[in-house]
Amino acid sequence: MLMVGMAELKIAHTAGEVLTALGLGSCIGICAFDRQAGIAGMAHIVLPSSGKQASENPGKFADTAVPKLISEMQKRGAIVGRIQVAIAGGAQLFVSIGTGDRMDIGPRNTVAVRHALHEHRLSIIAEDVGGSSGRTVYMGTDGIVRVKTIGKGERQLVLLGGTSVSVVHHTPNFALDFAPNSAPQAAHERQ
Amino acid sequence: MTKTLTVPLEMPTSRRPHLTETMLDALREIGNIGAGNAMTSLSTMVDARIDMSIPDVGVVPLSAFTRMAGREEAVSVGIYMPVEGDMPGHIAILLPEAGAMRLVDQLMCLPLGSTTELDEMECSALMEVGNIFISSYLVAIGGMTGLNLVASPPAMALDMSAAILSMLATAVAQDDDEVLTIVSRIDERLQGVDGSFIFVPEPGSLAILLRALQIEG
Repeated sequence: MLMVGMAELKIAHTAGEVLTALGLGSCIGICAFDRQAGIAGMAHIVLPSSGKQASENPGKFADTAVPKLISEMQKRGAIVGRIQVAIAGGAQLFVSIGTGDRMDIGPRNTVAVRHALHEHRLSIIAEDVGGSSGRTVYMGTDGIVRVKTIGKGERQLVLLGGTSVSVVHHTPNFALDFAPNSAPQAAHERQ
Repeated sequence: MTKTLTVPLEMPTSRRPHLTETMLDALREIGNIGAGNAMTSLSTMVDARIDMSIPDVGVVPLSAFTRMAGREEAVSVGIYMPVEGDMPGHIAILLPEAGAMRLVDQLMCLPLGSTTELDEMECSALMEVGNIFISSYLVAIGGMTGLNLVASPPAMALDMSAAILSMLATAVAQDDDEVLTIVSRIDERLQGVDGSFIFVPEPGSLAILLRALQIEG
């Protein structure tokens, strides 16, 4: 297993390799796959935007990680038109502080990742985002993306690069999660 | 338990000033004083003697931050509080689920092993403890440095420890790729209540702290 830590971006192309981001909270794991080239990539983004400064660490931000992920995959033979993407994460783990700016980081990451992918003409085939639970995300070089959540176990989110493409959207039910006083946050989340 | 807080030898991209041994000592001392006072207040609440380790102080790369607590997917209770005032920062308490349940037993004067679930009542008890614990930490540091540290309302999560820890790193990640971290560990001999207490000062806070302690930056 190839661990992808916070702000890291890694590529895998050997059969059997699995890119793994452990315990995503508000962070998002962007999983990209080109089946024909057999190249899988994962970025573990932490924040939405690098702002004005040139980032020394492109994997950290949604707006810089997406182009970097694409170029790293292209270097190894991937073609943008064939790359399929799945994303997971962007949760609001902590509850009860109200709706301070920082606590919105998960949803803001989700918006920024969707936007950056759209800008680079990549469509999201499947996503498991939002809610109040952390996730572990796996991206195999076989195109299988799996997500693990506490209490719900591990499941396959999608097979990227498969022949039949059906868009999968998984929206977690807030009420099932551990979330005392979550009502105001849940309302906010659904915006 | 192995020492899991990694202090990289080289920090090529760091904009942070090099931490000298004097600075590390000062940060350890801060952590010690804070944790000592917090432990005293917790000891009073559970009517048992509780100890904390000498704090680990280090500059942890973002990519390694969530490995700090060891088992990244272990279910833990996290109590998080942003700190404002003269020296902004972020504090969290990380308690593995089993340890959190034992702490609830002691708070509620139940025989150890009685609590088997962390429901609303248990969580609110832990949140209260966390609040007092963090406040005591801040009061002690404020007293030592003369800085005004303002506690905010705490927030809580029950999830994978990596997901909880990532919150602290995320809070300072915009401008930094490394996280200055002060970790104290709750002594496991306390009837199985193990856990960590983690203080992450904002990037600008180190200089403020060193000035308050009259240490040459």
